[in-house]
Amino acid sequence: MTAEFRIAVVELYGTLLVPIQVALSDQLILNLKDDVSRAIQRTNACGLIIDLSGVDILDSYLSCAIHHICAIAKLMGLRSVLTGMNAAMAMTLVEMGLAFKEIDTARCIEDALDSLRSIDQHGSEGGSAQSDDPGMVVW
Amino acid sequence: MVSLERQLLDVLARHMSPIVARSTLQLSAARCHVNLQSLRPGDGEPLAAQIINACHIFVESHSRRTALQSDLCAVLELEDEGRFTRESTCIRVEQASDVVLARDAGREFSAALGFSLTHQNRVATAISELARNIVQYAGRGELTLRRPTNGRSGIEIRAVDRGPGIPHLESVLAGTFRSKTGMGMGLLGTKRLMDEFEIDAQPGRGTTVTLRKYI
Repeated sequence: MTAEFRIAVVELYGTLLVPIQVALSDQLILNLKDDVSRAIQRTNACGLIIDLSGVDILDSYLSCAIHHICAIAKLMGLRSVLTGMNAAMAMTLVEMGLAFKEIDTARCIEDALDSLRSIDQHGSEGGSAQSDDPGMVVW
Repeated sequence: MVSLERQLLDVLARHMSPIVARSTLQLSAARCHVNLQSLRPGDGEPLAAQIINACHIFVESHSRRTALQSDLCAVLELEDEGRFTRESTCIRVEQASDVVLARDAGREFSAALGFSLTHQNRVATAISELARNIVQYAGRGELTLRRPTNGRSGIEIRAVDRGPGIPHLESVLAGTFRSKTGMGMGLLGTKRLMDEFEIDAQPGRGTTVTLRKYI
């Protein structure tokens, strides 16, 4: 049923944008892993934005899969930014001990694009303020 | 006379697009091994339950779900009363897509019980973990959601399977186990999210996990 359904991977200003606007099933995230890897290979993108604003639940398997996607992207020379994490999801993940510590986050896609662009301009180690401050958890 | 299949499609089409209605109906019939062309006595009940379960995603509001339920029961000549009460919900878990169904049911059930959005998310995430464990390690099993019997207001989630049990339970709960497919954090994370956590997972005898979360 969901095997045929795929999440779009969009190339935008030299960045791959993955807007996830659907409840994630295991098959979907597996397909996504393939699709993102192939898109990286095919394009010259140097950044990856995964937008989670349409996702309602991330359990350990799904967050592990997202970690894997970011790790694949990193190996292939891309920086990844997660955006759109909602409060309930962030609290749940932190309580479970799955806090996405090594992955950059941003409030929204626009911020993520800015952040990736500023890293491009200031060299790979420049780092933006956002990358040090995981904006997803505020308490 | 209009066929039963047509009538069911018409009922469903009030709440979703015709294409989704058709696939929902066919899927539901297939999952409870019911032939829509020749319904036998006793087929109505499992079919209605499957359809209701499958419609969780498409029918958003509680009032519309109630309307759908009574329409379905009318077509299938079942008594609506008390059939799908919120006292308890049982979800069969047999394939990966059931994980999504289970967590949606969990969110809906906890919302009906009055849980806050963050608590709903914790409950749904915990259910997702348990459902996935069932699919991955036991193949099939069952999740039951209900109010706790100890009188406190909250939710009790029980996951039962007859799979291989958990041979290295201690290391899983100590957080030192890493699974191939995840971070080995599923059960431990679930335990952290809930107020009460009981597990019986003797190797070879299946696994029963009981969780409670209070409002």
